[in-house]
Amino acid sequence: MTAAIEVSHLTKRFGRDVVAVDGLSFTVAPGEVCGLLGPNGAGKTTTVRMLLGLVRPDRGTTAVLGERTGPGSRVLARVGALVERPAFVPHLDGLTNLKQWWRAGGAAWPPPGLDEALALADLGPALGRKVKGYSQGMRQRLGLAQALLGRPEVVMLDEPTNGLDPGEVREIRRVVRDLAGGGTTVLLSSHVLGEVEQVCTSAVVMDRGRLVAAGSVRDLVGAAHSVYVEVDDPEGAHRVLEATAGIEGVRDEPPGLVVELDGASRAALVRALVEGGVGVETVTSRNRLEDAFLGLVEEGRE
Amino acid sequence: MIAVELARQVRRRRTLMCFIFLVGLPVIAALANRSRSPSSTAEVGTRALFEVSTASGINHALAALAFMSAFFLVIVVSFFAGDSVSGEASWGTLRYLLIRPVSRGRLLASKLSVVFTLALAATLAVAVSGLVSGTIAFGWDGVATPFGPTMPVGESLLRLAFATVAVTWSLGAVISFAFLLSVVTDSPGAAITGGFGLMVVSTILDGLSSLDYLHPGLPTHYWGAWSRLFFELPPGAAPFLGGSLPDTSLRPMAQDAVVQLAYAVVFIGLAAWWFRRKDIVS
Repeated sequence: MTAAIEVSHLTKRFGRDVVAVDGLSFTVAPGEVCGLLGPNGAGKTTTVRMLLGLVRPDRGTTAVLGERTGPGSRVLARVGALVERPAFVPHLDGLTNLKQWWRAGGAAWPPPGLDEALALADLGPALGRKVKGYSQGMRQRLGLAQALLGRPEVVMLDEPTNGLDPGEVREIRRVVRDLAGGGTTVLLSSHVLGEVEQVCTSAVVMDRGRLVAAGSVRDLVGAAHSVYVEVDDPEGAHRVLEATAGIEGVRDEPPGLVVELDGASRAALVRALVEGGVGVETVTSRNRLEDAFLGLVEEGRE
Repeated sequence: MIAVELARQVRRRRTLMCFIFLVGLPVIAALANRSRSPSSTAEVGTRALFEVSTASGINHALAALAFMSAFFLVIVVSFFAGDSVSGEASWGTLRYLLIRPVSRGRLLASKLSVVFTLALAATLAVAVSGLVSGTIAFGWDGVATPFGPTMPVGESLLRLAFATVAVTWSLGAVISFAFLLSVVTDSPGAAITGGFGLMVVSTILDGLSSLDYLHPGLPTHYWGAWSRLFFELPPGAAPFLGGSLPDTSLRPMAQDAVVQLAYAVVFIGLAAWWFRRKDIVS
């Protein structure tokens, strides 16, 4: 099966000194939701721009749905994208912006999937108002609607939750899950780990233009899960957990404890504590992609 | 793509403002000149057109073209051309158009056609406004040529139309230079200023007589040459006092056409070359 997105040996310099992307290669399989993860300035946006034919690579190639991409490649008609921030003609209303953008490609209005896209933007009567007066969140939703016009097979979202409030972030997450559920391939670039962790099936971690790690989110996080618990009786908890199977280790991290699980589920951990007479106040995951990410980036820098 | 681009530009408030001035200024001039009567002159050029501007509506239209094309039209077309691509870049919409995808060549071609269409529309607005306001103020008649007989109405209108095209054409270098800057920079202000600046620099150089070998190649040197369409000498005209017959040939118009075309080809060619290779980081 051909990869939905393929980046090979990609290098881009700006000017003499700035290497934005340096020998980057990765692939995204069809139907996957891949997170492109890295700190600010890691080269994520430049990579997305090269995939979309906006920036010419110095070396290497990009391909989408099996076709090489460059300026104006026809295959881009099957791609929806949000690059950096959404952008519209300020003196035109929301719907006219979508209409003009769609027609600029020579396609007839309305596109397939218009109603879904508009429902998603959820702008109501504001759709008929000039974009000039839109809030950041409204622009973002309209941008997302634009990216999804015509039901693209591949969707690239570059930092889609920048500047959004928590409710809007949750909405974007839901949209990405729906897309994935419908078989759309999604590339989501972000510097926010939680975002990638929550919606992506695979991730590409990059730092300073280079690939640091790539693989499924599960593999990147690692098999051993750590859990942070706060209990009413830490000493009691130590005692109980030493006697529980599937626990690799317990260490204090005031005010709570970090428990490394090796086979035991979180439910089993809580059950053991409660049955041992220890009250549990909070249980949260630790050492997930965040730890993996920081670890990987640091390893790469050494 | 052309329809999309035209709709984008036409619905802007600043485009509307430009046209309000383009239409309004000739009307104001007609009102101001109502009590003046035509006078005669021995000069060939746009200034002579002003002397007879109150002879008829068409004469007023010609005078309007003459005074508007020297300054205001230059600003307006620099505006249209300079903002064309850089405006899109500064909105951020350029990247979205290109990934639609619209090929870079097609994007540039449609932008450029809209720029030239708007430039022609702007000149036409001046001519029509001048014709209408002039006819109300000075009456309907053929063109009174500065030192010749009155031209028949049909011929006058035909030449007015030709003059309108020639005026637009003479802005070719300014338009294509502003357009080139519009592609090279992402700042509309810089591109607009650049187009206008080309006119200023060229006018200054044209005024330095020590550089006269340069003059025929300057983009503004033959501006106003179109006015010769209205300087026909009557058959058997006698030389003016103390001189020979003035030169009324249309040669400078043809030279202007060639000069403008040459600049346009170079600037637009450069713009296309640059835009093909440009990394879109806006």
